[in-house]
Amino acid sequence: MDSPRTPGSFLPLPDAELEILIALADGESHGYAIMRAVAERTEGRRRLGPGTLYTALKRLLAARLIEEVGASRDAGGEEARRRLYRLSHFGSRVLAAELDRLSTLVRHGRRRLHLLPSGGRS
Amino acid sequence: MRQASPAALRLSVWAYAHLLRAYPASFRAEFGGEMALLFSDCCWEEWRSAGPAGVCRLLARAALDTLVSAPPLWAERLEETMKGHSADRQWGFWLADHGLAMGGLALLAVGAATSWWAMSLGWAALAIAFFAWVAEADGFAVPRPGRVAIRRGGFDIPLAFKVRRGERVLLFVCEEDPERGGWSDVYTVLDQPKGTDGSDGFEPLYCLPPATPPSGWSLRGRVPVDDLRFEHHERVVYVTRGSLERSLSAAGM
Repeated sequence: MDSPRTPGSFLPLPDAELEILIALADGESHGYAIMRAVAERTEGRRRLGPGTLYTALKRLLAARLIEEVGASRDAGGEEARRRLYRLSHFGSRVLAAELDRLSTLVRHGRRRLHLLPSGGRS
Repeated sequence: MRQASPAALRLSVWAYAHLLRAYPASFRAEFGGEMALLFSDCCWEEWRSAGPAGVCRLLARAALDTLVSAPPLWAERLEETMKGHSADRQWGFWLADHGLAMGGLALLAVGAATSWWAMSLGWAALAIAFFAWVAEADGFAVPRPGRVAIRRGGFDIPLAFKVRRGERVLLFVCEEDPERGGWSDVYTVLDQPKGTDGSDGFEPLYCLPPATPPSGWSLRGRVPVDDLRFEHHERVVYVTRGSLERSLSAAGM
């Protein structure tokens, strides 16, 4: 009844979800840290607002590309309210497939712009 | 200016907490606390780096972000609501639900052929029907068939109660209770006829804290209260059958 769950069926990933998966590839993290990681990696060009971030997290959780680990450990007060997320095994496969897809796209694009040598061209 | 800073930050956080109302209740219950916390962290960061202007810019960005991210969640919510209702639907109630809209369409048709006032009435009826549809999706009490009574505390405690947003309710289902006749599964309860309030021997779903099931009852699982839709009828609180079925199914029960 359900369609098969293959990494390819999730591609292409929306921008925000791709950014989140990349941020989580480093290990478990909470929403604020994900947002900071995205902003740092893009040198402030991409800033995920709370709404965009958590709607994307909701979708990723529903698709089981990420998992909730629980609240921050060794933390009390407000820190304890932060939930930690991590990439699931399937999520890392989806991320790898998306990165492959993008790198192929980039390679082809650069070749078209003559930025890379193609097979028959010097 | 610096003295005003804590107040400015508090005001921003307060404003954002109100902006969160733009999201569906179930989403707010799940992520609202974290979103507010994240926004508060961002506010401090902006305040340190750019002062009040930075906080204002952040609030404006957050408002825009809300405008962009909330509608898809509402669309999902509406879709789920409509799916759930199809299970509840009976012809009579279908007509009750749609009579206004049908009447509106009929008046529009008549109005188009005859007079402007019939058309105005038609538009008004359609507007009311649309409002009712939206309001229902947002969880207002709209009488529907297929309700399940919920009781709190002991068996004889009056039924009026309030459920707070974000509270998790416990669902107990009587599996073996010779004294009460017993209910073997939750769907027996779901078939309870409309209008039965549980006082005449029906002891339907037992719900809400205490955390430990009373004797003869077994714990079936936990369901987020925001996923359930409640209706009040006299002193009885009902949960709609569609929302309960969806919650039970989502919880694998």
